[in-house]
Amino acid sequence: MFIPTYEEMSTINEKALKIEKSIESLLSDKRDYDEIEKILSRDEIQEIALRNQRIYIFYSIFDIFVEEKNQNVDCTLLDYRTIDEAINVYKILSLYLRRIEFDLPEIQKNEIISYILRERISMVAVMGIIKSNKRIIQKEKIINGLKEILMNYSSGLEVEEK
Amino acid sequence: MNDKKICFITCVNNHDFYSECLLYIDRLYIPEGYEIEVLSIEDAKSMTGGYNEGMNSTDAKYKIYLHQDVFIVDRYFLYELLDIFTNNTDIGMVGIVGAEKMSEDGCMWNKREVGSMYMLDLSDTSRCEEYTRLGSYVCDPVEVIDGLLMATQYDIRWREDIFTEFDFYDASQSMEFRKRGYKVVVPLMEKPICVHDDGFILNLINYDNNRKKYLNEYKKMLFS
Repeated sequence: MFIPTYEEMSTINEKALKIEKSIESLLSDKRDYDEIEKILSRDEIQEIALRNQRIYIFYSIFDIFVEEKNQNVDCTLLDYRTIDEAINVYKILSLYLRRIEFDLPEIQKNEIISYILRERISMVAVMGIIKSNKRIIQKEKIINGLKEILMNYSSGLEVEEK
Repeated sequence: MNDKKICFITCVNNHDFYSECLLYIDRLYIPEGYEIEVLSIEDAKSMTGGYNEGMNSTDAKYKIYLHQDVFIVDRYFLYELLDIFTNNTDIGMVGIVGAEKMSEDGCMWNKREVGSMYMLDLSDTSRCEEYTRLGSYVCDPVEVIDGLLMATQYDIRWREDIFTEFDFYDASQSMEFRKRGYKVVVPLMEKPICVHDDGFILNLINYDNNRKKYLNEYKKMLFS
């Protein structure tokens, strides 16, 4: 297994910061997603994504964005957000998903619904985060648990409507 | 000193992560007769300073210095920890991940090879790594442990006189315990005890300065 030295890590992190700055300016100026896609497809950038967590997460977020577009979902995770904000949503949602993975009490697991609604996150994005987050180990368990939570939530809404 | 009390001490600057961390502490099974305490240190100027403040603020004999982004998923963790400490008075500190021998350049991540937890592979963030422990001892003595979780049964002052930021507090404290004749160990774990949502060190200027301080302070112990 390749272990970078701290000098290598320092170089990688400096490059990652530069990449972030250029993507951030594309996001804030005109949300030029095509240009961002070009940056992310460069080999050098992909190599850095393997060594820098933030760039890896942003890659995942951009993949989710592309999938949302492909499925004609109103883009939610990336739209109107800075890189920091998007990464924060990714991380916080991952925390909620982990509650399902490790069987936290129902009331705590169910809080994911209000977070998803509040932050306007698509199910495409939720599934994308489950798939891409390598710290989510028991993916199938989480998907099944999430389905149950959603079904219970829907049933609750139906009861309210009646 | 209350030998029936365990205190979790955390330096906090991200309340989203810390409140999540507390959810997992809250669900730990507590051995009969014991109580737990939770201390958060806000606005710490350094990890060593924050941990000294926490250490001096509790009468708990057992202290668990924990990063805010560590989630203890093994609900029997406290049982396992107390079993080690009460049956081994020569063990001063327990960690989750460590190195049997510190790397010559003082970078622990080059040599972490003992322990088990879920965390991102440093060399490839697209992989989640589970370190596997080496050796066959119930408790592997190690030279250093990683600061994500450091549990102690004795109080030794953290070296805030030397390490004034957020690096090398863990490697330093490992040496301080060993200097006083205590063992620092990583216990045998069949599966990971915790998940660690760490980021990567961005400010490597500080890291390198502290690395040099560490090598300078402990060179006799490291290279004898």
